[in-house]
Amino acid sequence: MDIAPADVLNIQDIVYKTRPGRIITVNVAPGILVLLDSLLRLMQIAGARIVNINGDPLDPYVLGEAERALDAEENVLVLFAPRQEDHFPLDALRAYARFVSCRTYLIFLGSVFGQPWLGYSKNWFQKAIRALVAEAPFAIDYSRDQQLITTCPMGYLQRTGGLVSVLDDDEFADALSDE
Amino acid sequence: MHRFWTRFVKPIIETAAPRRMMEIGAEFGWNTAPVLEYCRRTGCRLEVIDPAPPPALHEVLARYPAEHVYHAEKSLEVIPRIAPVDLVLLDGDHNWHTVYNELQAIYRRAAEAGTAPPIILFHDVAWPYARRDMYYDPLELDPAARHPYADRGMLPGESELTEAGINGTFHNALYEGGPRNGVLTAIEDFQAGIGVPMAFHKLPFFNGLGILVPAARTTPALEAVIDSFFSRESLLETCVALETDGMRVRAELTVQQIRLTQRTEALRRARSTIEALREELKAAKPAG
Repeated sequence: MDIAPADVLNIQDIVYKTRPGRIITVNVAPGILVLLDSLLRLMQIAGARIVNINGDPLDPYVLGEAERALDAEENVLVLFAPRQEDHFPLDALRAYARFVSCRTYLIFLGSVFGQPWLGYSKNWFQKAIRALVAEAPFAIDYSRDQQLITTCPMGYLQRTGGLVSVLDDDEFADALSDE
Repeated sequence: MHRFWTRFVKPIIETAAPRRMMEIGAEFGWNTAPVLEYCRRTGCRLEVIDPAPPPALHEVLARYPAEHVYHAEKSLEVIPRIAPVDLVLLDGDHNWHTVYNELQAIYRRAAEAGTAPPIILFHDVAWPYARRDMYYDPLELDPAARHPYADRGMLPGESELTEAGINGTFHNALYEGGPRNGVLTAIEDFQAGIGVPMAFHKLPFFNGLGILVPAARTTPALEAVIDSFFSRESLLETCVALETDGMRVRAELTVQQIRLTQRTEALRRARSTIEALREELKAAKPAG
């Protein structure tokens, strides 16, 4: 999946501003992985690393391993690229959206595509994005869509909601046993 | 008190033009620094009294060696032995016993020297310590001079202390109100008993600024400055400052809520990982 130069700048800016401790990449091209790795090194984000996933993003084993790799990291960013055969990847978006930390991003790479067959039916990726935003605490960050050329229109989804209230009691939080 | 400096304290000092000042309770030196800057400009001297300040105060004082004398003792020990001053900035131990006796000592010292008592500017004459004592060092006080206290917080409108309130790390009197309780009560009791003509003005925001002007120090210029604090324009400016302050607090609350969310979710995730690993461990152990 190729991305436009403007999207490289957007990704760089998001990593710089959110300083994630983990970045989950789902079917992301090797060149973008190199870019992310370089950014994390240059920005000297302590302990930060990339959790790379290739193949079926909904495979339960893969999802379990991804979750385990996050440890207790508080700041998680997700870059998601759909596979060729994922025409309407709403379930995959849901599965990875739950890993995204408050105020960071789920970036859908290549949302400009999404025309699985010739004809009038198109923008299925953006339909999946709209469906996710309708049900999950995310907002499309349109401020990142202002470039002339982007391959990720509507693809910068910022988690803006789902805040834990200070009044929410978590009776287990301090009760982890030492077993 | 530093939040009052630009619009309230500085105009009073510049109008009264003191030659000697005293600051009781300097803490980080946020207020001390501009006062010492004034001293450098005018040749005034500042007596700084604070028995246990953080290191930041000494950094401030070091910049103005010729303008101050520092006393690392309690105010009630220092006041009787130093020369009377023209103006006092009083922001020390916020309880009735200390404030009342500081006022007595300041006025007694002036009387002994045959000078007019000083203008006194007080911090914390509004909530929470207007009508409630707080003790930095309660065990140093005579038990009869203090109210029962606890290290619990306060909420506006609630007399009893609560875990959910502010300043829960200080030794606060258990109840608000009643006799001999709080900074403002001490000032009122002193004013009622001393028999010296004086005027007291109170700005009831940013924890409150009190301005006590003895008749002997009153001038038309000083009266005009103090009156201007209560003008419509000044009060509107204050509304803007309070609103800005409130919005900053809300922004900080949002930041803290985001952090809380991130940490809570990370904790939940870690907990589920621990549970999964426990299950794996259990399954991997040989039976028996």
